[in-house]
Amino acid sequence: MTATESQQGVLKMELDKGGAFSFDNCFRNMAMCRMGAAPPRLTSTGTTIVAASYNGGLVMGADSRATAGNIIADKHCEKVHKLTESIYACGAGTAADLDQVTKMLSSNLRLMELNTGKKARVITAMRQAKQHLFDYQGYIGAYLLIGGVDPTGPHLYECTANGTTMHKEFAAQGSGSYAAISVLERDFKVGMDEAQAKALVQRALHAGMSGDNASGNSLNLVIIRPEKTIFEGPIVPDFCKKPEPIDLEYKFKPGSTAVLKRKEIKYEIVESMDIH
Amino acid sequence: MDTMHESLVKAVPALGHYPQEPISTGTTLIAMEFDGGVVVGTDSRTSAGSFISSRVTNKITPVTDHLVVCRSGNAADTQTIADVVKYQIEAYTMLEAEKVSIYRATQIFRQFLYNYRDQLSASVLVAGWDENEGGQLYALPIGGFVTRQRSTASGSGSTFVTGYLDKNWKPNMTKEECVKVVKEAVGLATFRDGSSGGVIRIGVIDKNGTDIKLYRPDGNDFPKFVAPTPHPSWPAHVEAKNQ
Repeated sequence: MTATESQQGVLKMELDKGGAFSFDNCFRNMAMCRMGAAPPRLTSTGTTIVAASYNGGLVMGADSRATAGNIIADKHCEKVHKLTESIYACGAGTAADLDQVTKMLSSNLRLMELNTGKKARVITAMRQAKQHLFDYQGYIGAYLLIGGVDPTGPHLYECTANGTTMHKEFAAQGSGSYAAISVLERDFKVGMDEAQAKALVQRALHAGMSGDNASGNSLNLVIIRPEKTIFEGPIVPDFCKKPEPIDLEYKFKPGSTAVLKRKEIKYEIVESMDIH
Repeated sequence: MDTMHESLVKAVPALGHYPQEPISTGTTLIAMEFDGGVVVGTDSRTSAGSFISSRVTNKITPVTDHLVVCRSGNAADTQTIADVVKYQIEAYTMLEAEKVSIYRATQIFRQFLYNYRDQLSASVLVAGWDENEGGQLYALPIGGFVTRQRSTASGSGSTFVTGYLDKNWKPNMTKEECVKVVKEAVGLATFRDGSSGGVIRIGVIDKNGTDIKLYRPDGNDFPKFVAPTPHPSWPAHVEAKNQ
């Protein structure tokens, strides 16, 4: 099968599915791009998100930069989403999808809490997210770290747009995750206390924010304990602060530059012409 | 990859769109029947392209007390298949007030893998024990083909150990003999296969249920191999200085 044939096959298959997404304009758009039209920009949270569990609780954090290509679309973007009183989700991927998915999760979980009279569990949030994302076969670009404390203890899950989920003790996602995960892999210990976990998450975020152009500006943290949840932020790390302008005079006294050589060129006008 | 739309597969820097590679369990799965049960062994590596997204994955997914499924291929697909089939088996068990046989469970997996063969990239081993047939092992490659096996290897690491398994399998092996061969085979596969690695998990399914053990590379019971020492690659004059 040639490339075009397989593309058409894929297109046909997607249309036959009759789902929510329409790919009618894909070929037109590709043709327009080839003709030099500027493609529209998706606001994507090129991101660093980090989470780590400690003795009895969980610390999660995110940077606050949203990018559209090379442009910083939002410097104070909120990537730590509240799902319930004690379950939070950090999101990387397409900003609009993340907003919608987390909004859907939080309302579903709240309805479940009201119907059952019990606190929602982290695993419920994870399974709802995973089943929804798998249904849409990765077209909903939401990469989530879902974490929280429920009656069964603290839990942290990683959930990708394809619908893969993994239970983890510590995790990082987004474009800055490679730098962040290195810090976590080196310094994470089982049975840390809250201060140690918070410092570790902060250090991992710093690594992501300084090593990745799509991450930065400031960071938000959420510390989830069995009794209560504390939200901290925005915290601006030193290396993200705008440098102070240095007010110095750069004027030089006349004669500061030595004259090394002088040359006179004589010329005379041979002919002139009026220009109207 | 054919089933994914081009816009998801290609990176478009102008759009700030860098698609994450599909997470897949480039895997080693080894399994063997013995008289009274099945032994399964897996590595623990999950990769997304060249990135190891998990180094302690459990690829032996329990479906019932006496049935496990070993997953390889696209992680999202195999997780969903395991979830859905587990749900179906639980429903049948309750409706019929009778345990679902391993063969029937395998056929439920087969039905799923066959019906969605164009959309799924999943290959599994179904291993279990039931009252009537004892220990059983079924291999289901991509496409929904089923074969019962006495000994099998699957996943990217399998190519490195089929010969080892052919050599070491013999009739009427005991549980302990099977565990030894399976563990050694997973060790050999992870030694040579770049997409397999991490810890070794060995599962034994027999009349007592499922027992999964973990072996760490820094432990004493992890298979050890000595690679042939390489010839010196330094130029002769540098090599002479080093000595």
